[in-house]
Amino acid sequence: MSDGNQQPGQEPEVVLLYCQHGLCHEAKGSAWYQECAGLSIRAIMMPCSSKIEVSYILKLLESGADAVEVVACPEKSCKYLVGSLRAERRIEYVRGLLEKIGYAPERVGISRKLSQSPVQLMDLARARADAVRSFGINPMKKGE
Amino acid sequence: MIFAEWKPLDELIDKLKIHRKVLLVGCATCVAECAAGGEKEVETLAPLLRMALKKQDHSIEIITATLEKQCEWEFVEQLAQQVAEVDAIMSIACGIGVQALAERFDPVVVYPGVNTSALTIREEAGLWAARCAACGDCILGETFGYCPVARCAKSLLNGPCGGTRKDGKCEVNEEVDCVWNLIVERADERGRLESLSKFKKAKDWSNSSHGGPKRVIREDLRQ
Amino acid sequence: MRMFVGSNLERRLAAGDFAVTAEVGPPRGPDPADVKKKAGILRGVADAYNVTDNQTAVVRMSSIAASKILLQEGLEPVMQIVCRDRNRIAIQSDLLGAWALGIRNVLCLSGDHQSAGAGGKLKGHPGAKNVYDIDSIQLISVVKGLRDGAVQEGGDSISPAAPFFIGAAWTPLGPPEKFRTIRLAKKINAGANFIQTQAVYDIKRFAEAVRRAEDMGLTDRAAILPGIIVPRSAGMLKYMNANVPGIEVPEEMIRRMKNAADPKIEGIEITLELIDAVKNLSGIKGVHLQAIEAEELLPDIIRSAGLLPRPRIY
Repeated sequence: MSDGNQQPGQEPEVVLLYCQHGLCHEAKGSAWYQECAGLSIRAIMMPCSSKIEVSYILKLLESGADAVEVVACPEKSCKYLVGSLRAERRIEYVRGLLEKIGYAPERVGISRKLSQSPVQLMDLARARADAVRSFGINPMKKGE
Repeated sequence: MIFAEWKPLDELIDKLKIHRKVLLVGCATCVAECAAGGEKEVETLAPLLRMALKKQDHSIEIITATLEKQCEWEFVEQLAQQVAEVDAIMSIACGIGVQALAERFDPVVVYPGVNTSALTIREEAGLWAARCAACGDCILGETFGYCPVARCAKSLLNGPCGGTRKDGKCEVNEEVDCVWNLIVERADERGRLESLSKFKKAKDWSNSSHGGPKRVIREDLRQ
Repeated sequence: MRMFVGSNLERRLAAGDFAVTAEVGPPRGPDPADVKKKAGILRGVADAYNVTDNQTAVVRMSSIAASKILLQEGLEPVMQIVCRDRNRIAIQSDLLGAWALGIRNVLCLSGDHQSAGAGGKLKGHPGAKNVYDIDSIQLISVVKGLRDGAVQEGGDSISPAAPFFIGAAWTPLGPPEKFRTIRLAKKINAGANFIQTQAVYDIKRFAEAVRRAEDMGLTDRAAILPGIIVPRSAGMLKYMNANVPGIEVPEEMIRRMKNAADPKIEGIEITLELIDAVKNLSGIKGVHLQAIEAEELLPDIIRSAGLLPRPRIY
């Protein structure tokens, strides 16, 4: 199934939204994501994954992101108790909406991880890229 | 609050695809409370519609606005400039808001983006339930604060039908309390079960929509 | 007891005989032969026959038409009326028409909600708009108005009066149980002359409920006819116990059906025991028998219960 135009060789653009606790202590403060240059990954840190709004995820997709990966804390580790649970519910909701308009729900995903190293975070983003590669580029990119 | 939910997205897309530029308008009052038509929902629905339309190769511009109250003329007026740019409006306010826009901005077409279905309370986060049916003849004083008109599937006035489940839920929906079970429980707690033995005669529905479209004049407020 | 219309059922009860009513569900099509066939099976075994009104919210031949066919076949109908589909204008109009056709017994019910659709077995009309202009107790008072006051609900008079023998339903074991006797009283106060109950399997609990009604003097003011649905299998009993509000089946009875060599024979045996048990209850004036989709079982059951032939009515 494809919801877009398959263009071989083009790397999916992934936006990685991660909870501040999703990044290991050592990497904090460093501009670790600069290492991602060339990987089509944009990483954005949030104070808590519950800060993500449905509208925000959709705006990322609307503006051309091929996929969005959210990294939230495991259920019992959320500093705000239900923050990461809320994030998960919202992601489920977005996936449902995408399905209804003919977009692959796989374009949005969530992982529940704590204290990831930059490499591990990259891997999560890559896994999301792999999950959407077969669906082609985001149709919103067409005709731009 | 007035409760509404998004219409199926296919239906919305079908309406919008023949247009050039559309104004999507929300309302910050009831429909914001029920997470269907407030600013958040406008900003969720707009990108979603843009993505859906683009995918179907329709190039339609969608601009957005959210009014404080879509059912008050002075707020509706705020849209005048934006409406001048578009060839259609989609409102995700209740049916009152939709009609206010249709009246003020005639002949611009106004589509409803939501289905308005009930007068509800938010029981818990993400859970709304009917409380009022706008029946025009309130009996809450005799039913211990529970409305059987809105909350009984059959609007029974003299007690529960035979369809109360063992756990006190309604036969029509196992998630919904039999409101007459609640009424009886509360009456009993207050030692007033006997008050429910009084016959409630056939209701006069004429002060609700059954009496024809409502129209009320208050001379003290007229200019 | 004052005689209102002199129907078979009313005279049977007035005479103090143990009454028997049965049920005739109208067909889902327009063929009168379907009604006549059931009439042929059940002729002479009961004093009156309930004709259901689009039960489980599935469209069937109207209860008024099927009642008329029964009359032509020599069976006395109890025309059921539900509040779901008609407002007070239509209901009263149909009552006048029913009376003109010779229908004398009516049973006033709330009616199954339109979402029922035969419990999901048929499509039904879940998108229908319901009416519920009046509820079942208000309906009783409307029928009483046409009969005793020769007056319509709105206050206009009719001439002559339209006397009906008025029935109502009772679900004694449905929650909230503490209110069910009060609700029965409301029905009788509103004008109900006879009461047919939700199916009874738990005799002990039913007897307690009847005693409460008796203590309130209700059993003297209206004839109570417990409903008995002939059980056909353990599964059916289990289903009703779990899913039909107001039906309580003792665990022991389900086990008994499960262990039976022939559940059909066992079901008949249980029915006979239930009839016998309610017959011996103080305050009980008859029985309302149903054999869902198996009407042919009823004549033998009623005969075996010693209730045939029906005594002559004078």
